Amino acid sequence: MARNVRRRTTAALIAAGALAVSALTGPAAQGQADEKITFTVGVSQEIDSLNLSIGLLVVDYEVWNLQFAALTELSDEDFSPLPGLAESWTTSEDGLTWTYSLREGLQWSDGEPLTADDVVYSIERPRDEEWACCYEIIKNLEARAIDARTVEVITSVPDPKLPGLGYVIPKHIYEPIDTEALADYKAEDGIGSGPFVLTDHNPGESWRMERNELWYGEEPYIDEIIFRYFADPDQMVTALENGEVDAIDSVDEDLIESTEANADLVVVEGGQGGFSHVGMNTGDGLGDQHPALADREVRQAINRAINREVLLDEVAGGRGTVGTVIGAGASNIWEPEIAPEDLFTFDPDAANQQLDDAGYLDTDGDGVREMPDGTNPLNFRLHIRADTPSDEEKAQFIGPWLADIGIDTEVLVATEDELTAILGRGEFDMFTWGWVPFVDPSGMLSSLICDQVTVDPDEPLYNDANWCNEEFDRLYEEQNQELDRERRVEIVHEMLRLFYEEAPYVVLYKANDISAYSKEWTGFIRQPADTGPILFTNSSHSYLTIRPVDVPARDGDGDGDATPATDAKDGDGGGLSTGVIVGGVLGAGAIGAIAIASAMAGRRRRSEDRE
Amino acid sequence: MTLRTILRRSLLAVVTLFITVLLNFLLLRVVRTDPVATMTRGRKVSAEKRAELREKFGLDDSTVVQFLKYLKELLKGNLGYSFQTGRPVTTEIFSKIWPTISLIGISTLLSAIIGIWLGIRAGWRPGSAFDRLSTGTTMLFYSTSDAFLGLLLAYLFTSRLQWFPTGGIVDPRSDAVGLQKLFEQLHHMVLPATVLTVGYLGQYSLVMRASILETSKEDFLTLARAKGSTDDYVRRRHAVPNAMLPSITLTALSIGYVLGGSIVIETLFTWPGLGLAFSRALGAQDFPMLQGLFLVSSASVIVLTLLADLLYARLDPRVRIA
Repeated sequence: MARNVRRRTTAALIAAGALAVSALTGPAAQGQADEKITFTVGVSQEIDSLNLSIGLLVVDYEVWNLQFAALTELSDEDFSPLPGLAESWTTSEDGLTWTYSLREGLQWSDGEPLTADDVVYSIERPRDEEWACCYEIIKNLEARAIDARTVEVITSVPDPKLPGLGYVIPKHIYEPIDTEALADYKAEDGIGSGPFVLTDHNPGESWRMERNELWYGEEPYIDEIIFRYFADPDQMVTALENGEVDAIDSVDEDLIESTEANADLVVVEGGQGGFSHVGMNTGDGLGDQHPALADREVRQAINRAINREVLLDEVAGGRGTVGTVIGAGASNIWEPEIAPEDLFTFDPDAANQQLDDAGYLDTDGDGVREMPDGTNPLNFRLHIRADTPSDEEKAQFIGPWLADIGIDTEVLVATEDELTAILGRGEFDMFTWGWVPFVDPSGMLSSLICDQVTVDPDEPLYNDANWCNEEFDRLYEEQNQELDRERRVEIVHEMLRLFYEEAPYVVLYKANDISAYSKEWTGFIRQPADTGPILFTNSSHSYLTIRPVDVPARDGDGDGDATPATDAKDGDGGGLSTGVIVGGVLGAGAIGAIAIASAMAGRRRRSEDRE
Repeated sequence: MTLRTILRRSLLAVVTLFITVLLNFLLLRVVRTDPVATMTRGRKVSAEKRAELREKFGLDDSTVVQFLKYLKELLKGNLGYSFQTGRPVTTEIFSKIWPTISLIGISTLLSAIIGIWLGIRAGWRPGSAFDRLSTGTTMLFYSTSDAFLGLLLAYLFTSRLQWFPTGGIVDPRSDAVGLQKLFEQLHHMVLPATVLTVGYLGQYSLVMRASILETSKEDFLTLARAKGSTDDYVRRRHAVPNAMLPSITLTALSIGYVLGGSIVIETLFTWPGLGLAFSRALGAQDFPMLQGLFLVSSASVIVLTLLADLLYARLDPRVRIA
């Protein structure tokens, strides 16, 4: 009893103090709200660097997407290129030379003219210095200014990503900073050509972006965006509930249901192709993998022994889709349908039969099969990531399922850095990880070609299944230079079918990103249409159309509200009919970084939550 | 106390600091990771670029050479560059010192003052209702983890009652200036400071209670009472000053820990101090930052321990420093 008394007194004292303080602070916080429209986003990441040669995180890209207008924009529908700073472009017969015409009267936010020189500079410097943001998409390009508003871009190889080109950076800001000094440049001077520019940054707390009056496009409804950092996911949801923020970039798994139950909030699920997988060491690289995994029959049997529906429900809370083929690009038009008879549906009997037929029998009766010659029982190491709690859950399901088909697994735990090294040395049989693809499929597909099988353990490459397939490589080269979009989609479909059939991966599921916003706001845009997220997309267009519900819409801006529930398999098709224009990329390398960074952010959120 | 003892104590502190620096350095090198891989994660980086980074961060040198270089730079006040932001670690740490000093500093002082006061009252009348109530309550909070207490208060006062904000030092939307801004900051500080104050009352009240209890049996108190002094006077003028020593040492030591920040509470309330910086550096495997944070917190503990040591000898003539 005594304790209760004490607590009540403390509570009363605190309450009194709080009221006194709110009385003093209340009016100040509301004073400006009538004049300016401010949209506040809770974010689970802090900016690491806004320097384009350094920054790596999703939040950095959100700032850049808003501050730096791209030469060509990405459509919200399917990422196809739209006029950006360039109002039009033409291409040569051979598709190697592209000529862009800039809009008239473009200016940087500080009033300096934005010219063809800036565009040329934005290709040359990041290419020569291999900037993290952009190198991957511009490495084959040369650019020159024909006149102040005309730029010619020449690619050394046919490139289906063109005419899509990304950020244009202010030459007059970057040029005085030499390579040496660039590493220390914070890039927080807020000079850009996009709809919003950075005006304030309090590290560890928040940053503010205000409307750029000199942006070429139509004025957004909102005057400023505040991004507020939260180190604790629960507190971030509370802040949304309490009206301290208007939207949040992620909702922790445990909080999704309670957030959905809140009538004032909208929860949005969206995906851009990311997937979780079990990789198998197929043995085309270094290492000491189990020989059975070099056999496609064994890998297929493993694919049939894993119940993806259960994993999606139990590990990802049912928020996403069951895995089939890998995701190759941010839009699902790149993913082929697999005919029902070719699907590796959960069927332990069929898996057992397949292993029996291939000669992997349990000759000594210990419940574990051996190689066809009767030696080397099928004991596989299964590496999982220490920094991802859901990996442990996956392993708890996968172990027994594989035991049911006579395969024994030993679960080993490693941090991601350790696992990267282990994969590089090839000292693994199976492991759990995931990928989030680039907008353009070339990036993801290039990770799986023979050239990406690690040869030097000190320089781990990307082909994490040590899988080398000549047909796949040939198709990769073909799609990488195929300028006809429909044909290219077909080739990519063929590659994904081949990969599925060869089964170096078990694609477990494609989990959705979950974000949420307050119903006091409307006008959000998904990218890609119907299935994508609303914020932290590849071009951050929502900020141009969102408005408080009591602000009337302009002509043409419907209530394009993202509805909570969508089937990620819907909304295809539109992309194919846009035909002529090839799928664009706003910094494919950039998006790759986003991908990995967002995966990292997700992990960090989850692991922090457990601490 | 002679100058020689002061020098000897200080020298000991310097040696301790050196060993700490060495341990910090080695500790992070036991972790088998490749910093360049961490820094370049998610990008395709050419071999030359990797070599350049290895060169820049001196990763190709032997551990001994790396340590000597580190030590040399350390003496120049250079703690290296954060892997996360590319900015100097010293700049990063300096920007986070004030939030931590204000939150943890105020909480530590409040906790010490209230705790000592409770300890005096409780120890003077052991077994009384006040003693049982105060000792029971402070021990309950002391044995509750910060994380739980923090979550509980956040749930009650932020999520349910909505009296306090979810975190941060200020609401970034507010334009408050001057006094209003100060009040807003205090408003944001109430919950985290309450957790840290209430949570640590126990250590002060218990130490104070024990030493008051011990002092109260001393002969000089009997003498003071025999002289006709009131109970109150005896407590204030004779008992407390003599019983204060352990509490002063404890408080001085606790102040040394202020610069360690509070990882749990700063993270829960997104308080942009050293504790939050620590948890983020850990998550990002930002070794230079971690090393810098370790150094700052251990150095401040060592310095404050030295001060407590010297202070103790000064305050209590019975303590002879040999």
